Amino acid sequence: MSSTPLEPSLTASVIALLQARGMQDVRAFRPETLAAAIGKRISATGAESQRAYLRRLKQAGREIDDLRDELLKRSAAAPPDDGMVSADWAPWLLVDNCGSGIVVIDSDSKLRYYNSTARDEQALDAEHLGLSLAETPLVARFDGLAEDVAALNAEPLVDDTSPAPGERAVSARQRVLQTDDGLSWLLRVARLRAPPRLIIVSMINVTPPPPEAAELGASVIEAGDAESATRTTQLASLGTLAAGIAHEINNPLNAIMMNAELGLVALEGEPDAVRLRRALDTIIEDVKRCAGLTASVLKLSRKGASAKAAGDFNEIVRAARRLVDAELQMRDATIELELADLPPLPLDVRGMESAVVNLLTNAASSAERGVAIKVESWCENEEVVLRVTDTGAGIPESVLEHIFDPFFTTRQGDRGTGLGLSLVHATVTEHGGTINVGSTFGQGTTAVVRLPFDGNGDRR
Amino acid sequence: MKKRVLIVEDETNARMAMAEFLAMAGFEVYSAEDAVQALEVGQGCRPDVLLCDYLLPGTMNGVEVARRLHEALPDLKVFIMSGLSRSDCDAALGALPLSGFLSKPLSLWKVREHINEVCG
Repeated sequence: MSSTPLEPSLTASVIALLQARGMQDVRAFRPETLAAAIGKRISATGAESQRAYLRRLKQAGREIDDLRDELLKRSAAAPPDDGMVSADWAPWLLVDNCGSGIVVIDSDSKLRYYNSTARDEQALDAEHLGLSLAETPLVARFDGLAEDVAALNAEPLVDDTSPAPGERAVSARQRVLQTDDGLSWLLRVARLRAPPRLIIVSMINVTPPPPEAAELGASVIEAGDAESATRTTQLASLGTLAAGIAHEINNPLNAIMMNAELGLVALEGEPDAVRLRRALDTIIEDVKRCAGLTASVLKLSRKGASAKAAGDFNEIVRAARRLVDAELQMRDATIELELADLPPLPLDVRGMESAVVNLLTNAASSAERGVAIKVESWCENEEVVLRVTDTGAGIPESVLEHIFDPFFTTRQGDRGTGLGLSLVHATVTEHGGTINVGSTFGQGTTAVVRLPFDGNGDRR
Repeated sequence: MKKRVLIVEDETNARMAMAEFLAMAGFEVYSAEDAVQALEVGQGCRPDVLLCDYLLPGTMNGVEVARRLHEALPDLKVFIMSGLSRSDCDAALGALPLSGFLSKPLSLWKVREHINEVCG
């Protein structure tokens, strides 16, 4: 479809959304892009708290409402004689090419229209046109749709197209639900209370995005930044607490270590004390393990910037790849590097190397065996971007929310401390950068690290 | 002549283990459990090496103890021990001439190695 011009009469929020996506000229803007933008905005909320998620859904709903109001205004200019909506009616081309599924039901509950997205996502076809809603696949697919339609039909009508002040010509209900195929939907049912008194159902797929979609649009990055700032603050205070505890633990560990060693000294020249010596060795081993843990916690809480020197980020990636080689072989994992030329960055080489090692190790262990890992780097908007994609088991949404929390781990036994990604987050933040992790459960995970060229500042 | 080592550590279990080990290793060992005692013992025994915990009970920390003893004994080799990391103590360490920062938990053999290094 060629681009349909749209006057800059949409609401400020929609225009802001467009501008955030770099589309300065709203008139040149195509409706399917708006829908895609709104859709992305919704679907990129996977890792946010439930409350923020619902707030965003509501916001997206309002934006759809505004678009619908605009359409209604246009339709009033040339209402079709028979109350039918035909697809060749110009404004409806907007709807037809919208990225969300939309169907129109007339006042007799008959399906009068579906757009191309609804056709593809909800398996509608021409045979369904003119059928009553109950005879279409929609009622069985979306729990509560029939009830919403009935409730809206019960609301009083408005007599003309100019409702009284404070009275909307559109009443709407919305719900978020999951269909049998595992997809999540924002279902909105809106009724035009004034002529042409249609019911408009929009079905927006809000299933969390696959790794590619986690490569976020401008509006989402903005949200990510605010979210990441909050998370950074939370981690900082948690880190301070943890550092205090780590210090308190290190002191008794010190006494345990020294006394165990003293015991070994005392056993020198006692060839029969094999069991005792083995017991003391075990104590020392475990003290060292604890010490590794407390050292990580202390590193996590480290205040102030670490020393940085201009370096090649790709070199760090290559070094990290060498360091995880044994792990990759053990797990039969493959790794592919695709590194573009990068300018020198201010880098804490040791810290960043261990961060990349962490990301690669996580990727390698994302499935029992045979994960394919892809590591890419490139420059974009004065930032160096690192993307690590794996074909592993993926991370369930409930886990994704917590991956940066210290001590959060899903690994069993002594295989994980739950500090790996917390440390990665701390290191990246310390370089003024951001990290986003997107995942589809069962398909794989993508981590995207962005480091600004002038990364000395601590973006807190 | 035996090298004199002063251990300042408020954790009794660690202090005694260190003292016993270093005595066996051939050093003349003195110990103190807080800052005031450390200054007293230090000025009396005139140690060659100071092993001093960073955080001590009371208002004076290990760095201040080391600074004062170093003023009185310019040849004193100073080791600060801590359960915190070096970077957390950096600001407080300031211009203190330091032979080493030892992160707890410590291995006695490592401690002996460090002392032997600075004693030549």
